[in-house]
Amino acid sequence: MNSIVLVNKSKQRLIIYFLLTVGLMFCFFLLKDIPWHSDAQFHTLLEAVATFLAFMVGVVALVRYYSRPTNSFLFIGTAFLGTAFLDGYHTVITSTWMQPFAASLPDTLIPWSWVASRIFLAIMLYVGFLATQYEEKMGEKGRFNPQIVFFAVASFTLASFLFFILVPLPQAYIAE
Amino acid sequence: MGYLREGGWRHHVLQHWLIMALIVSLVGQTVFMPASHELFDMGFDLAHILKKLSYILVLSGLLINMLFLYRQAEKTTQLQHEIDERKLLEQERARYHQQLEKEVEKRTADLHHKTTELETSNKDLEAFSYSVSHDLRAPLRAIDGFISIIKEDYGDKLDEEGLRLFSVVRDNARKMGSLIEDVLHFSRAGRHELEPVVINMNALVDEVWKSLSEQRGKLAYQFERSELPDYKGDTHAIRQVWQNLLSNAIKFSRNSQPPIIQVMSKKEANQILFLVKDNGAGFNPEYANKLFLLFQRLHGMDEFEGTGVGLAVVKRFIQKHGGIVKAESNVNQGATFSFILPEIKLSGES
Repeated sequence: MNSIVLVNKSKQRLIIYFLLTVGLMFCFFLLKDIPWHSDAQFHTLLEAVATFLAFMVGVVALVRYYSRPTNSFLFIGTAFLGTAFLDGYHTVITSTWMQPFAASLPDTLIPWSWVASRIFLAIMLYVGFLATQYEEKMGEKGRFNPQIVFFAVASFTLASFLFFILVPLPQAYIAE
Repeated sequence: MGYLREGGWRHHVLQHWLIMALIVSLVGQTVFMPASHELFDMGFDLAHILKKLSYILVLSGLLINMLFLYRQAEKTTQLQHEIDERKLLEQERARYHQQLEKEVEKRTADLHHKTTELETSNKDLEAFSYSVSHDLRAPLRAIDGFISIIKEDYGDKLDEEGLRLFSVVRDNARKMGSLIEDVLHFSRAGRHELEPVVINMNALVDEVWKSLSEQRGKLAYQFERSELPDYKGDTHAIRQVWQNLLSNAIKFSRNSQPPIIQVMSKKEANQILFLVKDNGAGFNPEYANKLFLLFQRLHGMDEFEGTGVGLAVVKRFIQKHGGIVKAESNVNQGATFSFILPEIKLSGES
């Protein structure tokens, strides 16, 4: 009986993923030709919201981790806190108030600093996935020390931050 | 997609939301963002919105997961609470049980003490009555003997009234002797050590009935005996029981036309009921309880002879076998005397 429910649930989920992808694609084709154009303030607002959301996700995941520790929640928590930091940096550096002080032009700075948090999050979640697999295999012995993870993630966040600050970046938008 | 095939979808609820966030994020990054031709255009903003949506999906997954965890904890707490309550109840019950056991032990000790006291006093009383009865027989025999001598040697010197008075003295002495015999008999019944053997009740009843032929005289009694089960008991005691009950039945039904006596039995749960039924004089049911007491009689001596010891002996023997006796009747409607004995497994019976 349980296995039947599980199979039904799995099918339901596959359908949800399919519909979500199709829905998003449909939205894309529906909206792509609309002559919409926002500005830097709107972008700052969106990124401030993203920073807040990433921070919230990180905090909730760590609260969940400390109520019942598992690698997955530790990595999700730390990854999103790092992402919140990078998104915050992206918000600040690309805001209109900071433009006079920025080293690069917004055309370059905005896309690359956006990509920084995306790549960081993708790598961290992938590492988290591996850590979860490892814990499933090893049991409690496979659980990571949170201090070490915090330190590693903080270092990686800083490294990502420094990479996108120090390394000269090519122009993101190429004139057609 | 492995988790879709494996069990416990609730445990993977977060992964479900993470996959949705991943799809949203991927579409945003690979479809919407590449469609952006300049800063802040439609593709650019939509990709940003999808990024927020992916964060919201992850946050939702986390919150749902925490909700599950909270409910689980709530259930565990409730269960723990129930377990604690049950433990408390069990402790209370154990304490109560202990108290009860102590009380029972105390009462049992009291009862044992009283029983011992009662047994001792009963034995003393029996010994006393036995010795008194025994010692009384000798002077009674002497009285009887001397009256016989007086009648033989001095009969011619006594007038008719004198002879009558001596006869009255002798009759009373004999009655007293008979009473003493019965008391001794009753006393022996109390002291009798049971030697249980398997008794063929059918044969025993027939034998007793035959031995009572003198008492029946020339009267044609209608005797009916149903099939009786064997019983493991003391032969002497059980024979005495049948003898006293059948003798009583013969005595009290002799005026009936025709006198009918029935012997029956009935097997009940772990006990056997034996019945002796007659169509004789019967008795007032109000006094049924007194029948089995020593020297208690419900009829006058001129009507039915006897000392009132027979049924007391029956009761004593049946009680010694762990049984009970009963009597049911109505005046002039016959009587039913019954005794119930606990069923004892005979050897060879499974």
